[in-house]
Amino acid sequence: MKRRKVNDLNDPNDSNQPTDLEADSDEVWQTDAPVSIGATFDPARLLDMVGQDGSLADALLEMVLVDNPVHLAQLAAAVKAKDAAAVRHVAHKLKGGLLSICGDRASACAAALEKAGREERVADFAPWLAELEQETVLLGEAIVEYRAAQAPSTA
Amino acid sequence: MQLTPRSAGEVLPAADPATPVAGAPRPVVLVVDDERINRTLIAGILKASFDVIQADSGAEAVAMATRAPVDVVVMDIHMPGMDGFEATQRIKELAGDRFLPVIMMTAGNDEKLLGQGLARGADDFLIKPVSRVLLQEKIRALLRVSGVFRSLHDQNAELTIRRARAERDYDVARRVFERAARRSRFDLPGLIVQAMSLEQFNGDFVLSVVTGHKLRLLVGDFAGHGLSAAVGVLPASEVFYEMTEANKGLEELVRELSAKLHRTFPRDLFLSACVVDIDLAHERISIWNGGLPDALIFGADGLLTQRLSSHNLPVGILPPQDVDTTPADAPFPLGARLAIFSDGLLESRSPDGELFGTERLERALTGCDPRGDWTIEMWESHRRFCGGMASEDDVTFVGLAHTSALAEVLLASAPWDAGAIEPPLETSLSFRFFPESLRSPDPLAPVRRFVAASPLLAPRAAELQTIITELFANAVEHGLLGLDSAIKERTDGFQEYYRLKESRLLQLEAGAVTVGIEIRECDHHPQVIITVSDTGPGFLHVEVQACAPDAKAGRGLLLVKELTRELTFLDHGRSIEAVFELASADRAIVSE
Repeated sequence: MKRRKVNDLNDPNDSNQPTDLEADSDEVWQTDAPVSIGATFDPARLLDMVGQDGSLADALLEMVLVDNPVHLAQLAAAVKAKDAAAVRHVAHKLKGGLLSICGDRASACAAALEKAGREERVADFAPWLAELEQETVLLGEAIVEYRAAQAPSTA
Repeated sequence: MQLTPRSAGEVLPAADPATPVAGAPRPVVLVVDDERINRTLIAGILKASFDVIQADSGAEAVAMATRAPVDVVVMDIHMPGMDGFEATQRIKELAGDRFLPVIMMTAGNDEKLLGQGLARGADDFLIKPVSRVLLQEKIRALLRVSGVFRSLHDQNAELTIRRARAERDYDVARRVFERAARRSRFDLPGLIVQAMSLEQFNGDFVLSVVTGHKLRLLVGDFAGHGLSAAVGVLPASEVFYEMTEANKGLEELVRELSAKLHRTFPRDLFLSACVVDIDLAHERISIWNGGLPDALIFGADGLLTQRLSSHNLPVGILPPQDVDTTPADAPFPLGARLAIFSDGLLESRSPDGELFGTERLERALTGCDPRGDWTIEMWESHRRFCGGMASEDDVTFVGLAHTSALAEVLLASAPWDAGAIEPPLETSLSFRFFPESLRSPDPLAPVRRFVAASPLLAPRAAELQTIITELFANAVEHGLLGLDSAIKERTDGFQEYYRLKESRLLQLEAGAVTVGIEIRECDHHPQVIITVSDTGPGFLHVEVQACAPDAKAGRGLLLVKELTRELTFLDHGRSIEAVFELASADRAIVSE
């Protein structure tokens, strides 16, 4: 497997980038995604997305914190079982949720894992899962930090 | 199963939530996504302006849309089980003719995927992560479209109801008129009556009575057309019958007609009419023409011998004492022909706006053989001239040829007693329909009138009309228009079939359907032979005989088979002959 960092995912010179016009949305997502790959968490964009509704943003972040461990555990089980379909499905779901709270790097990892699942590249499952887990930890820390900073004003 | 509609009395949701209608419910948006974070995000964005309900799968979305009134659906594509494409398609199918907009969400700008979504029924799409402003504005825009659509739908529904009421009224009026016309005789050898009606009900009318060895005709054209023109037909026909029954002459008839119409109707509802007495024993006709074009007499040599012009105003304009009721007399020897027509025929226009006119008509009628249908050339000339242009008025043409067969019928007739007059057996009549008349709302009206007016046929009019209508539809739809009944078997096939029919009928430039009705005696039983022919390329009828009773196609001919003694397909389906027993008898089917 050619190991790629998340930051490489939107490199147009990378010959491993999917270019097949027949590819589905998720492949294109990696090349044409309207997000800036690189942000672990972009709270300003999240607030813009929810119309500066801090309580809605907080509710979404709470869901991510609650749901992510569940999804990651499901992914780990699927990776262990080499169940490509399950990997694809759970990674897709995780990707969408992370995208919704502007957790771009973790979302990009989930997208890469979803692609590996779709292409049944079993050997790529574990490395991308590890990357995703690492990004998710960083995202969790960023969320906690953000919520702590928001706490006095929302209290 | 159907989607839950908003009730008829319910105030519509505000198309623009920024200016809600007082008391109106807020529009309901159904958000469908298997990821609860996405659902929560979208619901959170929309909650200020809309009521939001959520479904976490395609199947649940379909179920929810059937349970609650939904105004817009925001649908994710990738979901386990029923995906967004299938759910959208099902919701759209369940919505039927109601516009329920669906916005599809996808995580990438993949044209193929978005195109697939639109093809499956989606109305718009959004790229994830969704833009709050775009999402709200797209929903508002679709609600505006939905509001317009609903308004049009409601108006269409109201129009449908009004049209059904109008058709019912027309039907009642037609039955009343047919009852009046029933006393007339159109089944006479040599008598040709052709009519093209602009609307369902015609202001032109023809009455015909055999009395005391004579034939009396009235060809009338009420001002205008449609139902308002046709209301005059009843009183006019009553006067015609009563005066004729009382053995009154033409002058008295015209005077009484003038009195009745002048007394009864407003001045703008008047009657252009020709009233004619045909006396074949003395080979003469008497004619009074008030406002109709010149009646024409052609001699036995085929040449025009006399124009019988109108020297009078139409009936109903002047009080009876001011009307010159003196008729004109003319010889009408064996082999002569009489042509009377409404101005609609002369005023038919070509695509260039030129009038058909007297000269073309006279040329087409000159030199014809009086023994057959001598109007064919004239109608063909008229059809070619009009080039598919719709007529601006009702068109009526009455032709009468002095033949020995007609003379025999008239000389054998008793003094006026319509009920006692037995129509002659071994007579036949044919109606030819060219594209323009096929496009008219009720092309079979003259046939129906003939059947209703014939004392012999009228008691079985319902069955005869069913047979004629089915065979006529068969000839037009399959023979001329080349429509395949198999289309009806598909989903929405009926709609597709009738859309195709309308379109092909509009484009039809040539061809004709002929309906022939022959009355004859077979083993002392009167029979009606109905022959319907078309000029199309012919079509297979095997499917008709094999067709299952529950099939959507071919049921009309199965019904005809049931009603007739024999049904024979001829000339590769271009002609169908049905034998109908006026007295009940066993039935059989014969194939070519």
